Amino acid sequence: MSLAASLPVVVTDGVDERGLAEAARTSPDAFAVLYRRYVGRIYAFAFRRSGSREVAEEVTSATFERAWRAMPSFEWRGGGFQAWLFAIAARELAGWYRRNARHGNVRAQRALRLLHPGVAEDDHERVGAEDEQALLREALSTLPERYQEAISLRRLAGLEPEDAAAAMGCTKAVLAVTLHRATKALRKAIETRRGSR
Amino acid sequence: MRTSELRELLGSLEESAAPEPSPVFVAKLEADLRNMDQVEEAEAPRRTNTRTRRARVLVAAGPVAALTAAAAAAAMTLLPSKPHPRELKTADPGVTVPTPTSEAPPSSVPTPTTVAPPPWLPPAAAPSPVTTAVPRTAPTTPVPTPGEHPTPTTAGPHEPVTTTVPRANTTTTVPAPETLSLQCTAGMSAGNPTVFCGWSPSTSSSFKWYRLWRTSSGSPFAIVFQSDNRSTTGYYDHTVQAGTNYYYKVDITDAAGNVIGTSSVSPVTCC
Repeated sequence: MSLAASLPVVVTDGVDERGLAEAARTSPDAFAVLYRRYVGRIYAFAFRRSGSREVAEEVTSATFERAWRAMPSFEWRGGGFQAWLFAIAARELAGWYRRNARHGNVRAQRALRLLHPGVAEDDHERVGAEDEQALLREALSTLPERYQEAISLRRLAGLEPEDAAAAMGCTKAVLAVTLHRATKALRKAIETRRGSR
Repeated sequence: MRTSELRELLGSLEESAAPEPSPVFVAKLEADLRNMDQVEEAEAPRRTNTRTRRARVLVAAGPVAALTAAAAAAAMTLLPSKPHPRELKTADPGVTVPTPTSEAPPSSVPTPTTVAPPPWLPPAAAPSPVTTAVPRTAPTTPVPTPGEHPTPTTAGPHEPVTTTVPRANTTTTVPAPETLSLQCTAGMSAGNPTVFCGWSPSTSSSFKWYRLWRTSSGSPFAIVFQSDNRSTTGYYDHTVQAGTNYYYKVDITDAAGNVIGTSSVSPVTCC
């Protein structure tokens, strides 16, 4: 059964999210509706950022656990519940990379992927693209967490500028500046890694 | 590396296929969340309401009465709207709704043990044990006969009474009604007063319908929503008016229309 099919009927009735999020501050059932609505998107976001099912599951769990604990203090602002939740997820992802960087896990996983046997000739192009994405993820994980959040929320989660700004607790202008600097730093990090290969 | 190349790379990552989480993972995480206490974290997102924290500091500073009027008013308005279980008032102390036992709610959710039903509510809002009125008779010697067995009843502290009940009447087994947990919360939705009611899913194999009932002052309970989808465990009631007290309850019926489970009454002041 797909995620959409498992959603309660009430979700498909055009229930506005604001009322739902406000009810979820104290109601586990209301939070469960939001959970079912967003679990797939948060998981996909974490998977794209990490390239790993295990990390995606770990980050998704941590995101919703943190969100549930923080729900009593939730206030509806620009971007709403979605931006608030993705901000938590982006922070969890940055934290995961920070905790695991010292163990070389990211690099080891990338090396394992490259050494994975059984790659057919026709898959070389796909493997090349995946290698580029792995390089991008690795470079992204070396940036300051604020930069990681800005790029993740705007480019990987697909939030609109105003929503991403609200998620980061800043104005659109500040987000634009942060994003510009983050992109510049990311480009430099990628070039450094390409040069060291 | 050009900026356009980097954008293209980021775009390819954003559009790359991502698998759906496994249903087992989704279900297990939801179960874990339901079993988890809801405690506000100190490490909440940066947008955490600082005004709420300030209000708590004000409250922690001492009794509200000891604060200035302005500070007390600010503290009261900024406090979370989560009702404390003890704030539930009892209009009729005789009406006690049993705590749900089939599915224990998270400890953070106020469990209404005694609710405030309005005077016009029938006292049978919650399931009560079936009792049989036995006329008090003179004491008799319990002599079981074939097909009968003695059933002691309580008539008084010093008046043991024994009645004889035919065995055939005592072998009928009635399944215990299912108890649902129900919580209703009032709020504003797109500028309109709204009440959200969420309830625990039915586990009965005879389940056919959920029915959400509502009443306000003086009117009998009326159905505001019903669904035969077992996974539908919430409903938004947009037909409420601000400043009105509402009482909700949910029950479940089987295919024949028999009520096979019910919840306690959840009072809500809108909004």
